[in-house]
Amino acid sequence: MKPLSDMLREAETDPPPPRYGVDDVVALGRRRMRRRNSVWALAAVVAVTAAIGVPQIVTRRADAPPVVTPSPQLDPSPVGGPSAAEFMFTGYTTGAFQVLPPERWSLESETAYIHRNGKAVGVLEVYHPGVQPDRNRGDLKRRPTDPVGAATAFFIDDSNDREIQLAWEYADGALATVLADPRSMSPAEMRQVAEAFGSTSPRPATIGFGLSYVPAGYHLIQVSTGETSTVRFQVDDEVRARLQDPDYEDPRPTAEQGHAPRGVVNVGIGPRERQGVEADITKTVCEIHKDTVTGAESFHTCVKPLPGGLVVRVFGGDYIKQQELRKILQGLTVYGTEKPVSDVLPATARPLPK
Amino acid sequence: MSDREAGFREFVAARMEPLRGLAYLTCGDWQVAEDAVLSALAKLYVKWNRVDNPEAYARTAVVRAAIDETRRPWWRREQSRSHAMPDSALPDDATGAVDERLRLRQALDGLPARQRAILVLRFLEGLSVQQTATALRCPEGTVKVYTARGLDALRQILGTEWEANHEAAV
Repeated sequence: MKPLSDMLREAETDPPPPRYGVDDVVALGRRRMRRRNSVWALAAVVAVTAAIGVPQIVTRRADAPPVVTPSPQLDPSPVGGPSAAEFMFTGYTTGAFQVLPPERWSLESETAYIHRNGKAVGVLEVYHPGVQPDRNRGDLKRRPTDPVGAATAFFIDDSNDREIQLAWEYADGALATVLADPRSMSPAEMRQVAEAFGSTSPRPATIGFGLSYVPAGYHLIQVSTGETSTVRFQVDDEVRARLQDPDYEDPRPTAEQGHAPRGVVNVGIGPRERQGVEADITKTVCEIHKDTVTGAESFHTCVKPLPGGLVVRVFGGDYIKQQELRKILQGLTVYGTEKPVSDVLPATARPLPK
Repeated sequence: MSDREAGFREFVAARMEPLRGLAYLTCGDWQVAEDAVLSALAKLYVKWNRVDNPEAYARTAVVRAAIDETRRPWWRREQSRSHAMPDSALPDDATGAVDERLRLRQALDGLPARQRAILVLRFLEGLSVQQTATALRCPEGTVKVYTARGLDALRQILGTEWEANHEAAV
């Protein structure tokens, strides 16, 4: 009779050669640290400039002297954040590739998956005007390439990732990217998908549930559909800080503090397993999660069972109390069909324009 | 090179491979496992001076990252499974040790991610119920229940020609 521990050890034998070494870990760690330092510096400078009323954007890298003039990459004209959760494009087919209808809307972009022969091979990300996904990433390099149609195009190189990313300006000050593993899509095929892209008239994002209560001061920052439907809100101060950031990323370190970004409330409905709920539940269960390193309260979750093996899971970090999560759950209605997000959420929770 | 970085490099050199195995058993895919290890160790780099027990931190972070990867509805997983074990249909001629490994891998794949992680932490890493609960941020009762369910599931698939050599195999 063989011990289970021995069997487990044998199961992890014969690994393929490692792709990463110590240098890769250290390089990524340094990038994380540099990124964290620079976003903190940016948040502080934005706060100061906002306080003294000087309309300037300042970015700084930890390993470079401060830059005090706007970067030529930035569009100096004020570009607003989206005021409604609307998709600017729809699915399309080009050659062997099918771009599915976008299934995620967020403050910064809209996301659709690219399929070939029914299998996902890449991602189309269409950023809202003014958003520059690589602007704060000193580790990313722009490599010019031939135009996509008549639009300026470039590859965004990240030495840490095996994926390649083709970016092009689909409208003035607005970027879109095709991201794929070169084993799945060649650069020429990525270009093919990019050249077939076209924006459409705005179409509202839809979900299959509604909320009658969202805490005051929280605004919609993300909607996603698919196997799991999710809406995500963030408290207005954090959203304003994001909108000052050229990539609209949350400018505060978050992942180090747990799984819930600062000031975020997330409501998702999906199969139990997809929602991270392993056991059958028969009533609403709420938990407080703590950071295992610091022991500090990290975030709250409440999970409620729904018919058909589905659950709704609400989580909120930092600012939100568990009682608020329960109120959100109490105001939840599940519909048989999908409805425009603006029709099923409180007006106060609409996206916060710039 | 600073003492801080030298210490970190030494730790990574010693622990990267075992952590890769731990992540693999948790998620079932070598490439996804490697991504999880890289991400977890990069986080550890940022807070290296503030972590009292890097070993425990890394183990926890790697398992959590591996669980998260298995839950991600992402194309990345679909197209990176070149080193994953077969999902079903064991080869007819698989025998001996290889057969046993495949069967165990298949049995583990049939468990929910967290249940699988609990078995790996308890029986491979030798953590106690309390340590496992802390690592996975769940109640101790959950660890006990999932351990029992996981072992039952393995028995159904693998038969009884093995033993759960752990004092708390409830």
